[in-house]
Amino acid sequence: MTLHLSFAGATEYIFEDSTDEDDLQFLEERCTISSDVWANCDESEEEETEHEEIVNDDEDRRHFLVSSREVLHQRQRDNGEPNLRESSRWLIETIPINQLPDELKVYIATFCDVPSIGRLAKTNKEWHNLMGTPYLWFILCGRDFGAASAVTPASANSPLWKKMYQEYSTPLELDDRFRMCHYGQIGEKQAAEYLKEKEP
Amino acid sequence: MASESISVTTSDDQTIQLSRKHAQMSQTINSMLEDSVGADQEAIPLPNVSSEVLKKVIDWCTHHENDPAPVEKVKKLNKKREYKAKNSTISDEWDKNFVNAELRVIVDILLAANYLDVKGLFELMCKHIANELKGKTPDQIRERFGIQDDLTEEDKAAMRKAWGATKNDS
Repeated sequence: MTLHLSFAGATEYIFEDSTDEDDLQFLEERCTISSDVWANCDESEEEETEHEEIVNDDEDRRHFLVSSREVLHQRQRDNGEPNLRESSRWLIETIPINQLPDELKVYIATFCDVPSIGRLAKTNKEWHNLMGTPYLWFILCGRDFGAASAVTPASANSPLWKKMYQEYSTPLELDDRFRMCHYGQIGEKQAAEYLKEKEP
Repeated sequence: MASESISVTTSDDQTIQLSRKHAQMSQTINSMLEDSVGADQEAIPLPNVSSEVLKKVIDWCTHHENDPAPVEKVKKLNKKREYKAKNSTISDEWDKNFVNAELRVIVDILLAANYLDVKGLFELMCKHIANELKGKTPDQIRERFGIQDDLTEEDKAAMRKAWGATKNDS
């Protein structure tokens, strides 16, 4: 168990802010484990030499870490130690938020303000596509303008929702009344009063 | 007569006892219990949840066991107000402390809450992640959440046009 935890800690620092020296030390610590595997593979000598090169090669290092993990798990099973995180594939996926299914990513975005959603969309192609999901804008329209049950695009999956949100959030102009009534945000009478108030 | 505690088996083959009250806060376990009324209570398998994460979930359930059931809340609010009420402020001090954990743990708890269908916990975790996202530039988000940058300069220019430039942009 202790071994496991220190391993988890070390993983984080290898991907986050490690210096080369730290990396080397970390790999050295892992060597004992990995050579166990290779001894079992009947190819120990070849693999041992390959291991020297691993340090400079990112791709191989990943592979190396994965095989270390296998041994660790095997060892834990043999010793009857509980393996806390085998199912969460934590080592290879050091990027936890990418584990989330798409619908959860979109759901999280429904708690953000729109500028934040825009910035989130600018990070990556996948996120850009997700943030264009009509359903997200359906929820946002409901959240920010209370128009969820109003006269609106036919289904929650209509791409018009995003357009509608944009229209709502542009400053009120000449066709305010039309827009507000059209989307059923307020009744025609209230719209007229609102516009009257707004005039200087 | 139903027993007072339920045992569940987690993904790492641990059997954990939890009280019926806590178990019923999870819609998933609750429906499993309802399906098996009268049958001998065997341990319920939860193949998607590790014991470490389940303990966290139970912690949360223990703290919130006396909260009104979420179903009733939704009934009282009409649709509009339900949406309006949705902001990302975490009001409970205990909750604030609870989410003060590593991102990896947060994501695991979120996945478990989603699978177990514990609505309050699920919302809490979503809110927390949303709060982390807010006000960060795209670069900061990439760094914080390890999102890979696979965009070309042209893509970025197109996106600035589509989303509008905001003051926090890189």
